Amino acid sequence: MAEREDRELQRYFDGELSLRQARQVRERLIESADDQRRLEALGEMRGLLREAAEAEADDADFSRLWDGVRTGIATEKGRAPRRVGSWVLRWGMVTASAVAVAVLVLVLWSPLSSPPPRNDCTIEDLEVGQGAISTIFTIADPELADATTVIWVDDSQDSQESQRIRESQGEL
Amino acid sequence: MRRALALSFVATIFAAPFSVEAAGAGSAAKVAAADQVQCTIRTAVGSEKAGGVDKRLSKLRKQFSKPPFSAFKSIKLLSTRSLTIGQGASQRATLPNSKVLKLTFKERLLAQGKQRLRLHLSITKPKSRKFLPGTLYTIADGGTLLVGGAQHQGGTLIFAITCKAK
Repeated sequence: MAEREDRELQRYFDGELSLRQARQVRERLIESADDQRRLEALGEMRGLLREAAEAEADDADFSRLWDGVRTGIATEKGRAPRRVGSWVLRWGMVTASAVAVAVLVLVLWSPLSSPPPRNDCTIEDLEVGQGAISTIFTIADPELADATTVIWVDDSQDSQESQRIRESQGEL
Repeated sequence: MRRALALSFVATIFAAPFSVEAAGAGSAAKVAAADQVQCTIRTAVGSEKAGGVDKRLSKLRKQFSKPPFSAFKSIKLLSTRSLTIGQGASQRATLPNSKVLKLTFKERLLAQGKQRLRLHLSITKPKSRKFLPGTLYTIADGGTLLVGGAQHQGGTLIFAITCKAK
């Protein structure tokens, strides 16, 4: 709970909350001295970080960077102008992005990305015809931790019996 | 203008999966109001003739590689029927051996957050109670039940019954 409130406070501080959420946090801040302190602490931390960053920037030596930029400009001036139009680059980027997105969509939609349906089955009641023999068994698939149920009905005995009866009746 | 068109194209592609997801969720809610299942009945024949497993049965290749199916040198798909069955209703399909498969969708169950379907299956000759007059079973949504053993033209028939909530 406290962690969630901390996150919310951090988002409030960063200006990421919706108007309604921000109002709720403001109401909480009025009532909670702890939250006020935490908000102040966030402000102080940001100030310290900014100061540290500024000090680092002041100390940095940009002379080499500018030398590099000047050299780069001079080299580019010496080269022949590029033939590729800016629209080619722009449309190239758009096409490449579209292709990348299409590939992503295909991968996400691919049946391979979704697990195959499971087959686990419960036979609640089984009735087989007179003279038939039924067997229920499962075929395990350890790879998918799944099992397929099979009902095997053998009525060949019954068929043979019927054939014999028909033959005997014919003889009579 | 061109930039706007390009951006809208990319945005459409990005948004596509999410809009489909949303449509899927919406249709699931509708199904709850009027339950239906889509069942596929595949009839195959296993025989001693060489030929391997029919490519159209590739989803069942693993099961067919194990006994008793592994005894067949070939398993060939004879027919595929698709049935849409409403809750409490039955649908019939005539099988290649002239037996009639009758499937009744009883209800949809929710067990441990997963959908299961309760169905009643019978495979008999018309006006007969031989072979398989009644089987009540519950199966995972999209799961397949195999029924085999009926003799047909020197081979053995295998029925694969797959049902999925619509």
